[in-house]
Amino acid sequence: MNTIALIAGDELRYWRRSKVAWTVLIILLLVSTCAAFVSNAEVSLRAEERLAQQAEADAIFQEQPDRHPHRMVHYGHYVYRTASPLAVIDSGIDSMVGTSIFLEGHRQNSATFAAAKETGLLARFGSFSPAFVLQSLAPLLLILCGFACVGREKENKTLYQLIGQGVSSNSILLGKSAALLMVALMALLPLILLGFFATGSDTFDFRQSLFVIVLGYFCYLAFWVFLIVSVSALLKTSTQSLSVLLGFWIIAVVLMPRLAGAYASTSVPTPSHIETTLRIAEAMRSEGDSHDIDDSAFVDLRTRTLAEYGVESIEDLPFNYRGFVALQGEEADTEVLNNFAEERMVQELEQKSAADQFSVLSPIVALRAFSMTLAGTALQDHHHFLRAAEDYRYNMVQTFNRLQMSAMTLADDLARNSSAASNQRTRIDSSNWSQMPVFELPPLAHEQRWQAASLAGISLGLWLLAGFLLLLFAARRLRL
Amino acid sequence: MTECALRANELDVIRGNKTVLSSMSFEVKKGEVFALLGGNGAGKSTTLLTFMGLLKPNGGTAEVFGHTAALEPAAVREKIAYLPENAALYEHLNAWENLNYFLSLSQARPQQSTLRAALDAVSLPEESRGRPLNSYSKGMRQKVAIALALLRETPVLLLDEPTSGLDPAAVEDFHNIIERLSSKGVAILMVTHDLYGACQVAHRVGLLRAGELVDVFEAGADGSVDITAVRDLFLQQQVA
Repeated sequence: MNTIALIAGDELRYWRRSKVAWTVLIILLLVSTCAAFVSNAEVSLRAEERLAQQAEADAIFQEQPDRHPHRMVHYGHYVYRTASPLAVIDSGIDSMVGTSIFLEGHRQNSATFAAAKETGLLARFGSFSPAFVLQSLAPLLLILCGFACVGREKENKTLYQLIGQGVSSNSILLGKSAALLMVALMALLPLILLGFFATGSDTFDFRQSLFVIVLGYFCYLAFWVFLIVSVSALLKTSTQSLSVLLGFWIIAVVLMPRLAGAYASTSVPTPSHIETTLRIAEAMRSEGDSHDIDDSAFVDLRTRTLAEYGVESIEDLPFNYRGFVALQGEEADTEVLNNFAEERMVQELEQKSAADQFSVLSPIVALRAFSMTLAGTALQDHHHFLRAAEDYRYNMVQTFNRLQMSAMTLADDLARNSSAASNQRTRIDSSNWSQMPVFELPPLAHEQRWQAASLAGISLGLWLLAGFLLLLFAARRLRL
Repeated sequence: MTECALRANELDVIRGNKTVLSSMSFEVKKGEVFALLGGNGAGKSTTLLTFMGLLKPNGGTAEVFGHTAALEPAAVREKIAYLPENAALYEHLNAWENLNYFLSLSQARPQQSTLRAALDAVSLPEESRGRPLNSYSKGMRQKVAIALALLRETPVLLLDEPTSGLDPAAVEDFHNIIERLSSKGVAILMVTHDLYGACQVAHRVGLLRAGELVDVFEAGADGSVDITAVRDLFLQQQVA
């Protein structure tokens, strides 16, 4: 152990005295620190914006004058998704998917205001987040720092001296790895500090998730460290090592995630937006138009309702039948819309699973899935928001439909556009608008999150194991 | 009877298609200096690497105090200090740091005065000792490497072209060190091109040609090997 520490210490001393290594180390620290600050500022700003926009939307909704409740159904309401506190580490798919949904009757609108669409082309290259730095840049900088760590000893013949002092090849490679791991830890430091100072960092769940995310990144960087040291030990020259490592970096970090995405979209094709919209419209047509109580789709409903209440006509019902049709129609419409939405979500999850299969080919694919899931910025979190928003929409619309049923007569409702008095009687008090609860997105269940991250976590562990086995193999094959 | 420190027993080493060592046998006893002389590619450095356990022989054994190098490399390396041809030291470290580092790796904790004495013994100028080795001449680096080999205080010293790059005064100092170590019982195997130096300092000189030990010359009563006989045979071998 002492020998490993000595070798690691000397490697660090070499880097300290080498201008190239210093430059790389400073760049790594600077980039990871900048990313932490930028990401924290960006996420805080977006969170404040979303809260302010949500408050403004709530206020505008509640300040609406006395109205017919169905007008409020169509007036609609905006809900915003507040970012997970751990989005400061990994913004995941947050910047690609919408963070706000306009909720209204008879429709499920898509989420809008995706940062990537708002900020233009540059954001599509990936946000400058700690995740991006640690996933993509840190391995590159580790390569630049360590590609010659063993090759240099061979080229300068100091490997003879090391072995001549009775140092085993295992100790040499473990010592070199320990030094490079220190650099990796340095890159992780801003992430850890950021995690502790970020908003919402005082909860146990946050700290637990942060710890596991940092552990995941450490495993990922440790894999790269073992790979770098092994390649440096196995190949004859440092130049060869650099070429092989850069080649692997390009394939694993640049190509594989894109190939994974392309494979996912071709292996699980999804219908286009227009196609889906047309299919939904067709399915909705068969459900009838709930604005029209005489629509043929509601003949059965009328018969059943009259029989149930033992009356001859809808005017004799103890509630506004028009509101009742709206209520029943919304229920039927929502079932159709939910089926399409769930179908879409299943397809997206299948695409994600197809892309995740590439985690056996590249550790970054495994890490991305792991990091996004635990940071609360993954696809399932977006789906969770869509479902919560849809629940809120449905409850809001049905609340107003019930108000329509109970707060006016059918006669007034039918005559509201022809009689000023009826119109006035169908307007309900604006205090009802404030009875709608404020939209709140409950966090995804902890167990659900851990379960979703477990497979990616196992993949990361296997990559780390593979890296360590390669290191042991390289130690056995170490040649002078 | 003097204990045998090094023993090559019918040693065969083949690298690729080339036979580098062929049925080589010799012994070096405690306190003996044995020089292996040969041209380029004769197998000199290969012999040393085989004793270090860094190369596995295809046949025969290389033994150090009874330990077979190929089977017990760690045990063998504990007993050996090895001085490679080009001083293999760290360029970013100064002389003190190099000595401290390598000795720490072999679990030694020498005093500063011991290090100073070793550097004095190899005549490394005082003012250069705190400078990184990348500012040293080849000879100065060689002196630091020799000091390191001395400091390990092992019973066996393997030297690969030890005087290469040294100025005449430093060569003389080095020969004195070798004689001193030999008198303390250290077994020394050196491989060299330096016919004159080998004959002056070695108790026996072996001539290597294409991996075969063709002859061994013993020192006479004056303590040195007959240089004329060695040179004649060496030149004959070179022509052949």
